[in-house]
Amino acid sequence: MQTDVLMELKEVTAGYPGHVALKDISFRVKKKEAIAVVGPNGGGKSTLLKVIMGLIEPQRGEVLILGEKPYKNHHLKSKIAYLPQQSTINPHFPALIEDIVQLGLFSELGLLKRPTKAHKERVIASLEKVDLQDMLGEPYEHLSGGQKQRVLIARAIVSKPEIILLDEPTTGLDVFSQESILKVVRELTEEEHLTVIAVTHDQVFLRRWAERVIQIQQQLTFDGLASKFFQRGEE
Amino acid sequence: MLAILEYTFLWRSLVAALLIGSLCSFLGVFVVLKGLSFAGAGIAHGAFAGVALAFLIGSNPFIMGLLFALIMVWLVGLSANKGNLNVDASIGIMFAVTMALAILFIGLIKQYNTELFGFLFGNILAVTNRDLTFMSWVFLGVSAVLLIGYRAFYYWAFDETMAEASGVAMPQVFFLFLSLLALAIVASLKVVGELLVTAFMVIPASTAYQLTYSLKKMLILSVILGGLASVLGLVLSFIWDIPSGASIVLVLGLEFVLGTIFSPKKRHQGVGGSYNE
Ligand SMILES: Nc1ncnc2c1ncn2[C@@H]1O[C@H](COP(=O)(O)OP(=O)(O)OP(=O)(O)O)[C@@H](O)[C@H]1O
Ligand SMILES: [Mg+2]
Repeated sequence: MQTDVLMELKEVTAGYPGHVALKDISFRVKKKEAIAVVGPNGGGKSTLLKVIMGLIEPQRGEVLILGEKPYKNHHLKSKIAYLPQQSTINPHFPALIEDIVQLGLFSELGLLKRPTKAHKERVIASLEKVDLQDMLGEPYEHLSGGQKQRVLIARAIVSKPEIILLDEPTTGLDVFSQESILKVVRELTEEEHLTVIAVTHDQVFLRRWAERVIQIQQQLTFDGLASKFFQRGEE
Repeated sequence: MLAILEYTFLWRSLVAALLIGSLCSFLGVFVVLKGLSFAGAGIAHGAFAGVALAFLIGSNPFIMGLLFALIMVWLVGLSANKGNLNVDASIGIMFAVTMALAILFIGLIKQYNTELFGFLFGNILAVTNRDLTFMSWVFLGVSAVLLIGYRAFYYWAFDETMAEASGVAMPQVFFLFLSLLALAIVASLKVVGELLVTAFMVIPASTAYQLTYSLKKMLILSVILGGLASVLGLVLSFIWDIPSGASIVLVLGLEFVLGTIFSPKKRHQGVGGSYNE
């Protein structure tokens, strides 16, 4: 067995009461992969990320991340970061940028541990990675949509995860913001060597970032190199 | 004016108003940010039905009120969590049913009971030493849980899914919050009455929301505004001989108007998109 397998799904079936969203999904993910998840609306892409994140328990099959099952696994929380789809966050939520990034340390600090100087430095470092280090003390409300999304990515990476799950990170943003998110995610894979799994419909994202594409329509309908995926689509 | 402070019952009322005012405004910040004011009103209705039943069968109104309020919490929480039925619709139904129950119980009592109506409209001058002890315990207990759980409540208020993904226990945090809300509402009934208790939660937090960009400052401001309005409203109610719940809420309303006028947020409108990407 290769030692660089980070994550494995074995015949995973999952969904919601009375509704199967994913059926018999199996694949492996190695370290440093850049994977795009595509598929029709309602195809089960978000459900897939939730199963990997451990927010939903598979009905059948199993998910293993670094050899452990993610469901209700506190130990894995800081290893996997997650940016949900179209966050329902109040755009006027009263918080400063640094406060929001610091939320990402919850898996480490819990309720009562005080953040140390090292933690504060990590907050700044995360903001540097998304190019927002100058806006530390700014209100969240003052940011554009793309900047908000980048703050949320900084919040996700502050816990120093090995895997990042992004659910449609560029949907609803203008072209310039999309470009800025692409740049950030690229750096995460190329410079930070993180494993990134991103659900996306964004052609730019697919063609200029993804190495591997996984297509989901309840079942796995494609899994392979991005270049193959495009060839197949153009036939 | 100073002569009124010579009455011990007035001191008692002032302390009660201050405790309840600041506690409700603290919880109110999360009520406002999570859009739970309707749920708060539903819980208050449930609590009042419990109080009415207590008068009917001759048991302790606080215990009965709390019991009913907690039943409401579970119903609200479950319907929000299952997601089958629109939360507003399900609270609306419970709202009506508990009010009908309250009216039924009042009808069965067959007598006009001043004390019972004190719970509906607030009668702070009737606060006894035992009431004050009860309120103090609620104040200490609820504040302690809020302060200890602050980070989890903050994360939950910001985004439930992200909070859960980072390890905040969901939906436990939601149920815990609603239970704290129920406790605070029951403890508030004698001060502002069930009809106005939601205003008590929503207004100071909304005023504070206009004035700051940080959650911590919003909490502190809300508590100060709520506590101040309670004390001021109570003094005015004594001087002008008007119901305390009404005068407190009117002072809160005045604070809100002033807060809106002096809000720094308006000056920033439109700034949102102007930072260069
Ligand atoms: N909380 C839920 N309860 C019940 N059913 C759900 C829930 N969330 C999603 N579903 C259903 O599960 C299926 C898969 O949903 P999912 O959100 O995973 O799709 P998706 O591929 O992410 O779609 P989209 O492109 O619209 O985001 C859909 O049929 C959806 O209706
Ligand atoms: Mg989705």
